[in-house]
Amino acid sequence: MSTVNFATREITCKIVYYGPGLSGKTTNLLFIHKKIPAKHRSDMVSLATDGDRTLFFDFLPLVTHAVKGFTTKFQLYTVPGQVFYNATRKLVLQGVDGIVFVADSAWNRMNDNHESFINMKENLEDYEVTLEEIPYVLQFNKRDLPDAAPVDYMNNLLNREKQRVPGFESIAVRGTGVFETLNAISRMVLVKLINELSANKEN
Amino acid sequence: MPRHRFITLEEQKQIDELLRELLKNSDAKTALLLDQGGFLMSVQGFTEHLDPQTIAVLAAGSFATTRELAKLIGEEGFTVMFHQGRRDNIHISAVGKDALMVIIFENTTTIGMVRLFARDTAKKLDAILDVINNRKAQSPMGNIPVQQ
Amino acid sequence: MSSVKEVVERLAQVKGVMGSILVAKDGLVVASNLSVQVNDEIVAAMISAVGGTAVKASEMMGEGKLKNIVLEGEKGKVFLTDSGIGYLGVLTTPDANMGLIRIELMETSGTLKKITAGAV
Ligand SMILES: Nc1nc2c(ncn2[C@@H]2O[C@H](COP(=O)(O)OP(=O)(O)OP(=O)(O)O)[C@@H](O)[C@H]2O)c(=O)[nH]1
Ligand SMILES: [Mg+2]
Repeated sequence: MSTVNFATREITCKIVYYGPGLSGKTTNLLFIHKKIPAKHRSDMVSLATDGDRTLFFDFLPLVTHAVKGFTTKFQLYTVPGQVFYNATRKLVLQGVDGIVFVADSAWNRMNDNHESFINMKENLEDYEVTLEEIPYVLQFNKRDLPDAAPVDYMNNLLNREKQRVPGFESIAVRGTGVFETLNAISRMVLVKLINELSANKEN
Repeated sequence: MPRHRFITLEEQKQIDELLRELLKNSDAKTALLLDQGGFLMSVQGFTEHLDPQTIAVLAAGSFATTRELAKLIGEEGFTVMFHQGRRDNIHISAVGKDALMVIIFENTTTIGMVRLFARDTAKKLDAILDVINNRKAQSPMGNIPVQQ
Repeated sequence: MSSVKEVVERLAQVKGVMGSILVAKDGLVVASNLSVQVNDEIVAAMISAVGGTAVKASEMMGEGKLKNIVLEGEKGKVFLTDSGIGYLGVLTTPDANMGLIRIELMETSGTLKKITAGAV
């Protein structure tokens, strides 16, 4: 749920990185965190296990000036990808405004990608949200792997909703594609917010 | 839950004022109002060396976890969480259906005192939030230009 | 206006009073000013147990709403009253003036109700 605060002139939106375990969701946030100029950087919160697997979520607040006259804040979250963490994964989705689905390009992870995508739809359904109404993009991560599945194939597997969405190739460990993905989703979220606001106005 | 939420200048002022009054009455140190997703709506009181946004996100996370635990054992949900530290204590309580209040206090006051005033403040905050959450159109927002 | 804490603490200045405490109905300390020899939390738990039982007893025995409770011990007395926001109690010396203390408790109860108007 995006919040518009006229007192502080702030717009806040929530973006969630979803996807199977080890696909690189946390790595995306780590890279973004590293690239924020030190003086604007706040801490990234990671609730993780000893082995660096996300247990509950990662959280990174981002401040931008994408909207004139308003400070625009994006709250980036990752979910825990491991299958048995569904209870906490679902909690993170609450009130989401936009999703980045991070898929693992390794051939042997195609099933996991697919299952995670289905799981995302189910969890959204519980909040009465469908993929038609929520902005989302796909990120095909780990393109550096020698056995990376072709992008066409991955699109066929994951990008088959009524509305095709943008897909980005990435190598999150090196930062390749990370900001392209983030820019795309944040724009989509804001455009949707603004469209809905203008529609409201006409009513 | 509404898809968007708009907070006006006047509402923000009222919220801030209620939290300040709570601090004064209960002798607590810091008070935060957030939604159950961890979105921060107000911070009042002592904030030096504190990262309110992170506190909000973690408090919301732990409240959500507790709520799910409650459901699993057939409880409807807990409305108050309290963590006692050596010097600082944290009191997290529900404000209506989808907001939370976090109160940080030292041992110079008591949980009984904090709870006493937290209840009353929650009631008043809930009334304001109700208006905010039921607001749909917001004309002054009309066209916000997205910068390239 | 004074705070709840100040009002409760002030009670301990009444002649013969050794300590004062305000306890929520479920036994949590709201404010206290007891001497170091007694543990606030234990006193609070006892007060809420005694208070709860006495309130019920008074109703069931047809005496109506409970006004005050007095416990007389060898070494002192405990006065309790239901202040609306919780049980207000004072620990006194054995020879404390009971009339005076009852008046003080009633007045303090009234002040507390005013300060916390709406809070209960
Ligand atoms: N080769 C390669 N490895 C990557 C890439 N991105 C991330 N990794 C590695 O994949 C592993 C898992 O990355 P994480 O970001 O922790 O994965 P996650 O999606 O957050 O996993 P969960 O928290 O369990 O859901 C780490 O060892 C990363 O270094 C990439 O683009 N290429
Ligand atoms: Mg992770």
